Amino acid sequence: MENEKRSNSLMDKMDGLSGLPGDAAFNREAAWNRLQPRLPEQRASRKMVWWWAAAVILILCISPFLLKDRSRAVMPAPALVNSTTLPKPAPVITPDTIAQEKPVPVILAKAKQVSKMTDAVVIPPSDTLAITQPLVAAVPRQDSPLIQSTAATIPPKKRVVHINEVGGDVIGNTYIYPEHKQFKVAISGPAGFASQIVADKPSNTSNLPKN
Amino acid sequence: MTEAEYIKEAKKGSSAAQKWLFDELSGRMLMVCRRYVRNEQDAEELMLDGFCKFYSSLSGLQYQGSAALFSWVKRIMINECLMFLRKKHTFVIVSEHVAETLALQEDILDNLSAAEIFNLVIQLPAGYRTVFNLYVIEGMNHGEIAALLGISEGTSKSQLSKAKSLLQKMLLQQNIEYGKRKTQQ
Repeated sequence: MENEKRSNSLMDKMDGLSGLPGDAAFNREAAWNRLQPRLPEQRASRKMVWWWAAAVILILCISPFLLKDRSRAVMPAPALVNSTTLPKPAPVITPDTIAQEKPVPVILAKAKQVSKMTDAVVIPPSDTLAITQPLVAAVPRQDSPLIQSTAATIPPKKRVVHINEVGGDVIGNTYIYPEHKQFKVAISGPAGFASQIVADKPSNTSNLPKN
Repeated sequence: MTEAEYIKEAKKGSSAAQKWLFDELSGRMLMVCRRYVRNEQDAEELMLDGFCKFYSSLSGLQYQGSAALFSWVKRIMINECLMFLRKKHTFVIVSEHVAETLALQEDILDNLSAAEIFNLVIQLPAGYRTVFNLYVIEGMNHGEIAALLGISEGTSKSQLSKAKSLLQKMLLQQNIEYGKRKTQQ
């Protein structure tokens, strides 16, 4: 106990010692200037500076790749023709294939319910109906009789010639060939009109009848 | 502004408050470090390291008065010094049977001033000095010292005993020299 008291008094005595009489005074300012860079906040701010620098460098390094990817995304991809990826041609439907085609089952799920609601509807014996002729058959084919009949009705093409090329005249609805002009006028056309037409003819055409 | 307010400001990272605390404590802390580490430059460096740790651990401090703050900072400084001494391997391990059992007079240190005790203590070898500081000045028991230094309690006791005998010799020498000086005058 006595030892503890002495120790405490000695401790207080020694703790109060802030310098020795003969020694040079402790330079607090110089020590503080040495301490300040080591302080936690300074370290934290320095760390932050390094983190920022690292982040900027990282962004600078990554940005070319990012821009490259973006330009790729904007530009359309080049068209690549791959024979293996080409779509299959549509199947050619012929009468043989139509005959081979299985009847398309049509499920009438609500048929029974409908029949219950309306007595007038005749219920088929089974729930499925078979459509034997698909609608595709309505499309005419080259060898179909429909095509043949239409080909027979189309008139053959004829050469279209202007009336002046031929040199004849039209009297009413009748075309008069030049060599028969006088004859036809004499037979069927009215005299006044025919004579006028004849008179209108150029002088190189003779008025004399050929026959 | 009170010490508690300075502590609060220092916790927030105020450089002015930290400077004020440094000015208040650094002189005494340097003497604490010098008591353990004889070299002045090493002691100053250890004191700065201790202040760094003090500021970094300031957020966890609950201010309970000036004495508590001082003892807390002093403990940080002592730990820094002990770590330094451990790294340097300056502890002199003296086995118990070798240790002399020269008893130091109980009240002899009380009659000496702090500066005189300081000058005596820093002349002791590192091992003796450390145990003497921890036992006599800091008031630790041998169990605590043994745990702190990683030595056995017996070794701590023998180190203390050696330190006391050496101090006795030094005091006698000083008295003789003092007496000689007195007679010459």
